[in-house]
Amino acid sequence: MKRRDLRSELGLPSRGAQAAPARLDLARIAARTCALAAPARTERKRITMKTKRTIFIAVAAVLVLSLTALASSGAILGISSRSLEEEPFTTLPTEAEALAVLGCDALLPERFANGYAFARGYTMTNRMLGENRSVEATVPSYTFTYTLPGKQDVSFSQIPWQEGETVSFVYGDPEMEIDGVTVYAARSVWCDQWGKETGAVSWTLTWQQGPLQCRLHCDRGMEKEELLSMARELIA
Amino acid sequence: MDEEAKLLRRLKNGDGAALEAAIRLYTPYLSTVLWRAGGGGLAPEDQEELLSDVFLALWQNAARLDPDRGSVRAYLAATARHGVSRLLRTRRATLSLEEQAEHGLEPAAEDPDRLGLWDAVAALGEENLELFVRYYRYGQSLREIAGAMGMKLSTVKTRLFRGKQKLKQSLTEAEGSI
Repeated sequence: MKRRDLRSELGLPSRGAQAAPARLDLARIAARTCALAAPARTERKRITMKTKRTIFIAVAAVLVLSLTALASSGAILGISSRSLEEEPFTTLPTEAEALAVLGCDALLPERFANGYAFARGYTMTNRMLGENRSVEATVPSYTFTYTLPGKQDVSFSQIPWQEGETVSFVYGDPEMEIDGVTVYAARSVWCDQWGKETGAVSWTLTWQQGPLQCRLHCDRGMEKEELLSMARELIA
Repeated sequence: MDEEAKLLRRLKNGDGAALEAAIRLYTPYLSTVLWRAGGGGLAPEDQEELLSDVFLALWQNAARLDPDRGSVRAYLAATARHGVSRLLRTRRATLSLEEQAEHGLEPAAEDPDRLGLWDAVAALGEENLELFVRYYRYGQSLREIAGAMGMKLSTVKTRLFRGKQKLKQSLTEAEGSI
């Protein structure tokens, strides 16, 4: 997104923070709306079909853990995520810090074999929403961003999750299995503002690994195989 | 059939991609509605949650919307304004004065920055405010803005140019007089 400064363009002196219409996060709005919009059972079916028919619009930001939360029962209908901190952290948390935040051991990769390196991360709080959008529970999660000069950023999110919970962040079509861990892949097609496909494709991989549900995502420009190789490194 | 009518038809057909298209299309406009209705005092997180509810209402009520009786845009704006007033009413009823201050519910006039640049932009009119918000806050291109607002590209350029001239004049005079 191009940053423009109206005050400096007008040649006016800076006056610090000004009350202005907020630049809202479209991804977060889309995530929450989608999570609330579709009953869980039909949503699971819709996403599976999406991966085949590629009708889903991807949105740019990758801070949100998941575009849509899936549920196998009607108890929890959605998940609302928001950042706990204004600024991202720029060094990886230590194992002890991660344990304190997530309550279990986290995956803390500094670098991947393809050259992507940790750049920044966020702690998120995810609110489990019930029938009347009441908050049933809150669960913390990490979202890390990995960068490689000249390439699109990759985000890696992890949230503590017990297998068999009523809600799951894991979705898509099963793609590969490593040491008993099944990785699911979901394909998203970018569309213009009126919903017409532009041809650009994004991939999202999700899986349950021990006490964590994990999500690896790249907005356009990365082949599924490369993302899968990064997932292999995390799982192995 | 215009683009908004096509979008509404897709929403009525339960097309999830249309919902996300609507979110991307109307959010910059609705952020100006929230800013004006909330007096600039709502946190971005609150605004995002409010807009989620607004788009959810659009999704759930699309079948009942009649484009001949009002635009999608007007429906969304009215729903957003209603959401803001409900939120502010609830907060004022349940929060202490200190908590209200924390949530940005203090009287707007007490904040000197409130009478600033974006108030001057708002004085240019609702349509110009949306145009400036799309360009400066959301970083949209002139072409994107023209498409979203149903204007010619040349009109967008002209409005931006003239708007900046007016702003420069009014703000320079205002700041010079302080």
